[in-house]
Amino acid sequence: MSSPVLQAEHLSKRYGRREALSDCTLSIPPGHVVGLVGPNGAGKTTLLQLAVGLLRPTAGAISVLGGRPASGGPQLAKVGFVAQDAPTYASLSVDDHLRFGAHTNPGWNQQLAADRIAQLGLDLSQKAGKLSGGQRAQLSLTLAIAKSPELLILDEPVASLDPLARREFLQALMGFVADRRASVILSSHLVSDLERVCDFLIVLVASRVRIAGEVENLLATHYRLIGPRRDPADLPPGVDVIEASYTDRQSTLIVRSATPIHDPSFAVELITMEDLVLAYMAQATTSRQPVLETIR
Amino acid sequence: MTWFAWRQFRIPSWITAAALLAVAVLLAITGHNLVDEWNASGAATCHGDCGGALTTFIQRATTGAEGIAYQLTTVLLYAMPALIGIFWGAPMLARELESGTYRLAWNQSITRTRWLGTKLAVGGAASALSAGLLSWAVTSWGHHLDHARYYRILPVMFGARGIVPIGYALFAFALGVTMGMLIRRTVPAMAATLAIYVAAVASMPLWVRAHLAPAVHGTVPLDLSSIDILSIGQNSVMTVRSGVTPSNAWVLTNNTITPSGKIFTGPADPTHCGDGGPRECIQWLSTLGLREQLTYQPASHFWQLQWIETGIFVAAAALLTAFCFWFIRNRLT
Amino acid sequence: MIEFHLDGRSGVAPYMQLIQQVRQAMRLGLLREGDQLPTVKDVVARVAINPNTVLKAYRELEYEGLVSPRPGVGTFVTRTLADDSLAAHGPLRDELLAWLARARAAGLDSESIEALFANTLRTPVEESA
Repeated sequence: MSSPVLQAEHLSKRYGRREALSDCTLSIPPGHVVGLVGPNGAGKTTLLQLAVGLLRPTAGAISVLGGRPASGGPQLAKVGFVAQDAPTYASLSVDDHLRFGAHTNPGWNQQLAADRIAQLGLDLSQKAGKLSGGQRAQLSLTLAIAKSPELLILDEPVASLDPLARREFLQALMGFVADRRASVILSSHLVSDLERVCDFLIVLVASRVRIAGEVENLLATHYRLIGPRRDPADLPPGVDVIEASYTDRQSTLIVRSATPIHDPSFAVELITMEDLVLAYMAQATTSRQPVLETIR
Repeated sequence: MTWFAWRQFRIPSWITAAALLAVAVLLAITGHNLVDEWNASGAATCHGDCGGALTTFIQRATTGAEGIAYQLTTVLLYAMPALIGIFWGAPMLARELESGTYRLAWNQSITRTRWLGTKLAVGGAASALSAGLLSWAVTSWGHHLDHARYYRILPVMFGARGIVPIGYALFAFALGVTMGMLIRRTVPAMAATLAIYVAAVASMPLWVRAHLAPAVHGTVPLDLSSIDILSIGQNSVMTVRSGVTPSNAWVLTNNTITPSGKIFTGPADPTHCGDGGPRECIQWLSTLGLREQLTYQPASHFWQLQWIETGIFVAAAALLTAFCFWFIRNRLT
Repeated sequence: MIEFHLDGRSGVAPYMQLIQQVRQAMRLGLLREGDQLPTVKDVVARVAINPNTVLKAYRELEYEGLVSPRPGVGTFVTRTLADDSLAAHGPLRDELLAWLARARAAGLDSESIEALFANTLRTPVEESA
């Protein structure tokens, strides 16, 4: 088992009285495109910023690629980061940004950066403030990729992009993953952004991790059961109800079960990633107990 | 990173270079005239009592372009550190924090401390250099005028001559950076920097500078040929102060004392200091054996005070810088 | 070289869709023995899906014996699925076009035609005999 790209144990971040991230324990295996999904304010940006060392935990520990985030030049070189809204220096040109990357990163791949910029059709002398949202996102992605990181972290990279820019961004990102076999963690509040590209999912709601695991496994172990109205305690053991809704006659349950369900009184369906995320979000709002399960 | 620090600093450094160049041109032109006037007035060749020559020189040198240049450069030297603090120091971190670009900068393969250190080094060097150049130019240019009229050791001139402007500039820069880091918004940081800088610089002549070198105490017979104050208040309480003081000195206290050593407060003799003119009163005063007790910093202390005050401000800048390094590593998260 | 596309709403897993598209291309003779499949990088740069999805599809096709990887070069088709029935495609297509023309003349819209066709296709062969 190769070492995880990100390992968090009881990680918490508190601002005054508000807990932005509570008791987060995660182990993310390498070689995946990881989707971090949750509603706005759930703590996604906090978790990602803790991973790149922009924030310090108030409790617990986090290690990325085996090291403490931002603990020195070599650690910083291993992780590429594109923050929310792809910050760039508005008064500096595209070329200035590339030179900035070249001067501050020993692992800088100038050829790769120049090729990508040319491919994108960006004008080197154009000031970054004059670029469109999609172009700025692509520039930021180029800067993050050209330093040759092992792990790429993106905070809501496509949230404010139009559909075409979004598609182009994801194409570029996937091209990079195919090339470099790097790991990627990207966050979004929309599942549809992540569905196509992620093979590992983390659901974060109200500062807690609700579920984390390989997408294939998650989708294979969650079911929708539709049947007559019944007491959920009636279900066979090993079946956990995540979300339940009832009419006076019928129950619709979203459940997790390690083994397939053979209950003739229920119609059993597989669910989509969106259904899964929504079920855990609903569970988070109805229950107060934190539930963390990691499925491999 | 050094390249990038300069790249971000490009516009301010161009503006400053242009301004310094303009001042240099002004000084070059007027400097010529000053030298001519100095020679013409006879002050250059006089020995001993040069009062007349100096007066002639002052009369000529404080009119027209030279006079304007004299005042302008003095104001500029006080203003420059403040401008450095406000426009170089305060935005340095505040703008990055405000606009969020720190999230880009702090992900490159250099630590926060190295990033900060490079920017501080570039800005600090530029601050010291510009302030130093300007001060050197103006101090040399105004050398004669300072000697003739405004004595460099006086509070008004002291901060605009010698090496003290360098200390002010480094302090203002470090202060600006610190305020920007703590307040995280550019405009409020600028305001805070200005306020604290003015308070710090103003407090020197008011409370601190007088004590930086041992003042000279002197007691001389009261010379009433030039009188600063001669007043009679209620109950015949008198206040007398002579205007004859050591030349080129910064007078800290000037008291008129009686032969027994106490401050002279009268009472005024009504027969001599009545409704007649002051001449009779002065005549009477001169018979009382009064003395003038002075505490002052002489001109010879100028460089000593300069070095100490510069040292204080450079030390303050160093402390602020150390604080910035500590804060950015441990607290700014 | 074939081009992949993904139907996000079909309910079929993405890797399965890729496999089906390869098989279909082979059946139609668009992919022949010796043709190269697009590289993983080319596929994801066009379709924006996880590279592992493509790898999985290609592995499955290799397992079925349809393609074979050549290290350092690419993935190549090793069989043809198009058999003699390919020859019959031409005349069949002509007949289909004629039938479609008749169906439209009778007043059927596209949906009705599709429904009719789907229904008939599913009907067991015995019933229609």
